[in-house]
Amino acid sequence: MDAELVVTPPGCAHLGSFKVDNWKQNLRAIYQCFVWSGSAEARKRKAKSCVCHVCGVHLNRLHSCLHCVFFGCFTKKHIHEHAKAKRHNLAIELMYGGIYCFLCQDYIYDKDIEIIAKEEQRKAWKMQGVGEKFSTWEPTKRELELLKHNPKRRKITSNCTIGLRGLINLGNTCFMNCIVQALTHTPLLRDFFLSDRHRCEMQSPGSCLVCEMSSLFQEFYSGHRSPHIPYKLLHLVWTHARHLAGYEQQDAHEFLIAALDVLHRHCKGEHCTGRSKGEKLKAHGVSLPRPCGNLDPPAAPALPLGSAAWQWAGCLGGPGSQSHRLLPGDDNGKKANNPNHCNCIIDQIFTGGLQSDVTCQVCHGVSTTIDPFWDISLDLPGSSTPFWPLSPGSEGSVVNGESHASGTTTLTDCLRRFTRPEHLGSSAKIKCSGCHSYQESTKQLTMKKLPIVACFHLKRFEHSAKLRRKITTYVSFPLELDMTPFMASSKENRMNGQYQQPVDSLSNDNKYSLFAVVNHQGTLESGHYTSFIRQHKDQWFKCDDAIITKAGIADVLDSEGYLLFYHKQFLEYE
Amino acid sequence: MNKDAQMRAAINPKLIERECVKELLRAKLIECGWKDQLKSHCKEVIKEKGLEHVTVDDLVAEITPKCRALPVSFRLSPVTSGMKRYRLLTET
Repeated sequence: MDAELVVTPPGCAHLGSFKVDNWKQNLRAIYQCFVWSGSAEARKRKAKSCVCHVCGVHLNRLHSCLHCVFFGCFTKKHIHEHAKAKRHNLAIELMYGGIYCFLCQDYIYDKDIEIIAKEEQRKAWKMQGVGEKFSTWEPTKRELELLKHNPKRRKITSNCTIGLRGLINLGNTCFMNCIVQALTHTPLLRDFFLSDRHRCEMQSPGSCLVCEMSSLFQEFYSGHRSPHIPYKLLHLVWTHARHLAGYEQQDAHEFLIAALDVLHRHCKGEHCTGRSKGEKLKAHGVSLPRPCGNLDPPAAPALPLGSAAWQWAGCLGGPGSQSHRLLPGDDNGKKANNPNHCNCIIDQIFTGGLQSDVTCQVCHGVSTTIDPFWDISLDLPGSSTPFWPLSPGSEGSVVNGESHASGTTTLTDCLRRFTRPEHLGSSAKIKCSGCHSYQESTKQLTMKKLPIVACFHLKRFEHSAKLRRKITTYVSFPLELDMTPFMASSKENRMNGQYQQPVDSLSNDNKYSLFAVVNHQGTLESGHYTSFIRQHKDQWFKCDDAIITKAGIADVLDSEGYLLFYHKQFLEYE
Repeated sequence: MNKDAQMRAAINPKLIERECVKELLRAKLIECGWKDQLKSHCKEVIKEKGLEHVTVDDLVAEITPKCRALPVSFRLSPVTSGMKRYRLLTET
């Protein structure tokens, strides 16, 4: 509807005589007792008393008179008869709380009453333990003004190209371009920036990467078809993530993590200095990534296995476990440091929780830690670490429609391997505080909290001491992904003897849809990044720097895959 | 008291089951776009009749036939799996 038709509710003229004395309190009481009964007694009272005074029925759109104690049904016109006879012109509908005026012969919307109604509804939901529910967006005064002063509207049809824009390669910057394409097509991130939600906290606003992202979104959704030149973005990246500066080809995954980190810091107004991961590593004598190279830190958590910095919080005698924060040790900087429970948009969208359970083989006590993560790095078959078997005695279960024995490695195979129980071996005994001695243990990773956007990083760049190569093993990945089998809760169910959930999972919480894929073509020494992004639910486009072409779903799913971006299908309120 | 409790035990599960199915049905109707289609139909009616003149009852009269006529495409089995879920919940 056009902005001109939006009406701020003035109610009707007949409300004047109602809004006198203590009307607000009285109205609230009516809402609490007869419309949204939050407490058990209120519900009981409503059930007993809210019946039509004429026919005794409680259905048929029951209304309560606002001037006296009378309930009448609407469908049979019993409330109408009462209104006419007593000249009580206002009534309230008991299911949804709407106010009906018999003189206007319609429901009326008064701003003051709407506010009271909403408050009482929220109170009742809270009392019932329902929490917050979805309510449609309503513009604020300022937003209405903006809409009036900017009458130009853009209609999004299924074949319009708004949101698609090429990016000029500024000299081996395809690694950056791909990530920008993925981010600008992340639905929640797009909505955040297009609804102008960023308030800059940086002291020098010209250096804020979040502000630059905001302008980037404006560029992408402007409708311009010419490729965009992201020179300002590149400059900001060089300033804030110095290990990525220079015209050499960098790793797209590294760029993603660095970009998310800078965005996350800038959301809080923190200025990041050059204390980048690259510099930290230089101090340890590890070389910086060469063209398309990758540091290949361990998958998760932040500490390498068997490190002395890994400590037990203590094991209880039985299957009990306790959570604790992992002590800061030899942090490879791979995972985001999230000490202040930041609630910035980056954390809301990308941060998940990875649970690590270390079980002592002697006393079976478990020590649990939960670490935040922005992405999951998955080992591939063909690397120097053996891929198969996934774990001793693992069943070839059918999950996500893929079969174990087909020969092609699947994404779910990689995830199963990632969440397998792993014997840490006799050379990596851990001091168990339950046993007060060094014992062998098993470690297992599971997902505690899933992020809204899950990014999977297939570790194609092997960069060990002797070997530097790219692993080109084809890994098939699905369009829709169910993360339920990899959840910490599923693991607990299995341990408690509950059988595996049926294939059609009952809960929708863990279902994801693919929306972006970043691919790398070429070798370790020289290569090129391209990406596929999803538009309008079922259309895919290939982004090759400045060139955007339509792609089929088969092109996407057959591609090699380096970074896979999945978006939760269903979002829940907290 | 005992009779009360008996009645409650007999009726409550059915009520809860009904609510579960209702919720699931609501979600499915939103998912498959039925609610959105009806909403745009409402907007058309309002545009036609004019915002000042249309009443809630006009809208109800207009969209009630359309509610049942609109094609709704989702499998019925999710509704029954909703009941399965409810049974799982009560049995644990």
